[in-house]
Amino acid sequence: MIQEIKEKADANDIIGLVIPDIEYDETLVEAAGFLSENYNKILYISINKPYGKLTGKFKKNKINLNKFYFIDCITRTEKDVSSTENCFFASSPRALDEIQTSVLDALRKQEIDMALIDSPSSLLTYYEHADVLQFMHRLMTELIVSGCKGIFPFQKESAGSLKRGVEMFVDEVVFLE
Amino acid sequence: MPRIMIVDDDPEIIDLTREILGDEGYTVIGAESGEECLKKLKEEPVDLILMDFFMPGMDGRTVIEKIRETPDLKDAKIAFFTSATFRKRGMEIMKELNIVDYITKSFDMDDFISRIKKITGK
Repeated sequence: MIQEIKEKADANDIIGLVIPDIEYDETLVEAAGFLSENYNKILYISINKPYGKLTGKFKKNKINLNKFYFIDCITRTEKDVSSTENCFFASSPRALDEIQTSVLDALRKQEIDMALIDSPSSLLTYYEHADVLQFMHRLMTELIVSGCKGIFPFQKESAGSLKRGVEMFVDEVVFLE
Repeated sequence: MPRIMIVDDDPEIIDLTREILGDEGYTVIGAESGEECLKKLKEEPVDLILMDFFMPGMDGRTVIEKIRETPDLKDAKIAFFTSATFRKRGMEIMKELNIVDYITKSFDMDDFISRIKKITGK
């Protein structure tokens, strides 16, 4: 499974991943491990998982955290926390402009060569389909302009029509079974 | 002269397109959503549909898929007319959906008119 992601990521700039819901979180941790071994610096944009929880999982799986720069969109909705050297805490998943600016900032300052957004469909809780699609499109354009590759994962059963819309902006979609 | 439907949630784009193509003699019908497009297509046939991609409710791909599922409309000429940049997979999907052209909104007016004339044959 990870070999397939590696091959497609090497061959394309932007790929979509469709992962069965039940394996989603586990697969993304595996993918993070593979990315840490194959890319210089990875931008991990987390819409719905707190930085603390993610890094805990990464450490447990012996993934090198120094290879990541995080944008955490959820922690500050629950507690006050200041950004660190390797994590920017956005105020909320609703703050699309702030998230976009932080992505641009990271791309400019962190020598990012791979980005992963976990997970685009969770933005549908806060925004209408067309707004999320436009945000994803802007994000992909920024990655391309910065010479950075991107992975956009979707849950197979629950992501709905968003993954079909985003499919238009990617080079290839990898369906993981 | 051919009848062209422009599907876009921005009424200013519809008005501008109506003005440009109207001057060339085309009849332009506007629809501000996918739902309105499907409803109007059932009432009056058109020679070409210019489809936006980013729209509230149904996006352009979904609307086109619904058009292709409708027996009377499955062969309708459709071009994307959008600010979206489609990549490799998007291009494949356009081929699968038999999209005749992909015109970006930051268009050159002469090129736009010449492409519409080429598609409609008039």
